[in-house]
Amino acid sequence: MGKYSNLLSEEVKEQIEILHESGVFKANDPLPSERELAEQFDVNRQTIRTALKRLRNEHRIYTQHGKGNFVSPRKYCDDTSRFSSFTSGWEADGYTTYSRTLLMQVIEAPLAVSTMLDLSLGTEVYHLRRVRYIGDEPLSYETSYVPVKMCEGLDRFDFNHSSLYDTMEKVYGISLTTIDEKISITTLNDDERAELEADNDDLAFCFKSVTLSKDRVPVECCVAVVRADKMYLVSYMEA
Amino acid sequence: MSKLTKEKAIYLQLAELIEEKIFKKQYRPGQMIPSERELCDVYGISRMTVRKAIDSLVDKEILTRVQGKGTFVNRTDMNSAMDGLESMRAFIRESGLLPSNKVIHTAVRPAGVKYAKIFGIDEDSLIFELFRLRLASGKPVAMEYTRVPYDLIENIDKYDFENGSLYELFEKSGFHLGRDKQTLEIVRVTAPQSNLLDVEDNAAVFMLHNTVTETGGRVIEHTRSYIAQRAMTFSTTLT
Repeated sequence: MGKYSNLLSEEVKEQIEILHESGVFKANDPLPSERELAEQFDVNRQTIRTALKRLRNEHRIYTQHGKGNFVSPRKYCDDTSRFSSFTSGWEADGYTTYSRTLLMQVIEAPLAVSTMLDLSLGTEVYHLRRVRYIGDEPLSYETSYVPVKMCEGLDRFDFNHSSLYDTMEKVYGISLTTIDEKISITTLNDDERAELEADNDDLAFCFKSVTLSKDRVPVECCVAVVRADKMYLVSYMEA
Repeated sequence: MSKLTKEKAIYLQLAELIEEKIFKKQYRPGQMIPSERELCDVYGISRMTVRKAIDSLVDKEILTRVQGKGTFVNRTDMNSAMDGLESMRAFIRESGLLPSNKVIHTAVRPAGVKYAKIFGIDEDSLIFELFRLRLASGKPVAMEYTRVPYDLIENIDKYDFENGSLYELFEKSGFHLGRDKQTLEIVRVTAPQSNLLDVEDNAAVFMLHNTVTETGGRVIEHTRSYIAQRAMTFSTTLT
């Protein structure tokens, strides 16, 4: 393990990050060539290459073959300290949201779903699958399950434009209080990749969540796959 | 089915049995499971077979052997990872694994544009740089890059960070933690991070940034961490 050997590329990475953060480089601007960067920072090409690789790995830059490196647009920021639906959360931040429903059907709960919702195997649940957009960018691929007996007729609603949580609260009078979420690292499968129009990187956040009602009954569970090159999470802890 | 079970290798049957007990929380995360000798006696099988079963679960990262102590159930989920890394230490300790730090690099250097902005100091002001590898029972779990304004704590560069914690040092020096802004991303790591974390080149890991403000309003720490942990869980309450 020994001595830390990559200080120089760490420094160069920091220098390029500064240009990025201070606005010298704007989203989708081309980066100077490796040779130019090597001259500018007075280091060898290999150091530049390592720094660029790390910036690419962290989604700060992207590469187009034959064209060079470009500055990535900033990632969207999702605030985890507050509980809100996709729709109201992002709209409060000034974005427009939209969903495209891929699927809305009644199925018999498979084991993974019945376990999360605390139902017996095979209980009828609504199975809603949507691609969620911010502006015109697909960000999240979400599959939700809601027990039919709790929200009879849920499939009448248009979830392209209205929020599932909102409908559950306002139409069905279920008050949602807690969301237990597990975040893991995943890669997109072919279907998710196509729907999310991901061509550069297939890294994604996987959120598995269970939403509980006031009396702590599970009322919805969801698996959301979100492009990691497009989003990060933020939280504020007060001591 | 029963025929199949009988034909299944005994070590696999034992491995499945242990896994099932973990799933049913008969063996809890962080808990030590019975010794090899005890398992031999209880199930009437050879030491070799027991060892093979445990080996297979260690390979699957379900169990961890701790030299001279025993075999422990891994905690696969980190509760409230967003509590930051100091709680990660606590989490490691609670899980029965032995936490340790390895200081990879320390330096005192000018803040430069990036850290001048973060700490609200001059570019020429000095910062203390501390790179640490966090381990649990000798296994790397996180690589941390910490920066602190150098004038904050006298002789900070002489402090023993292998055995002492930065937060203890803050408290001792009269700085109380006020606010911690945390961002979480998923990125890929390459050398040297991948080597230090003992993951493959280009492996996906969590990247966490912590910006810590003390109660007086001064930013006292900025840390970037790469965390080799597959999943994290947290809970949000509706307000």
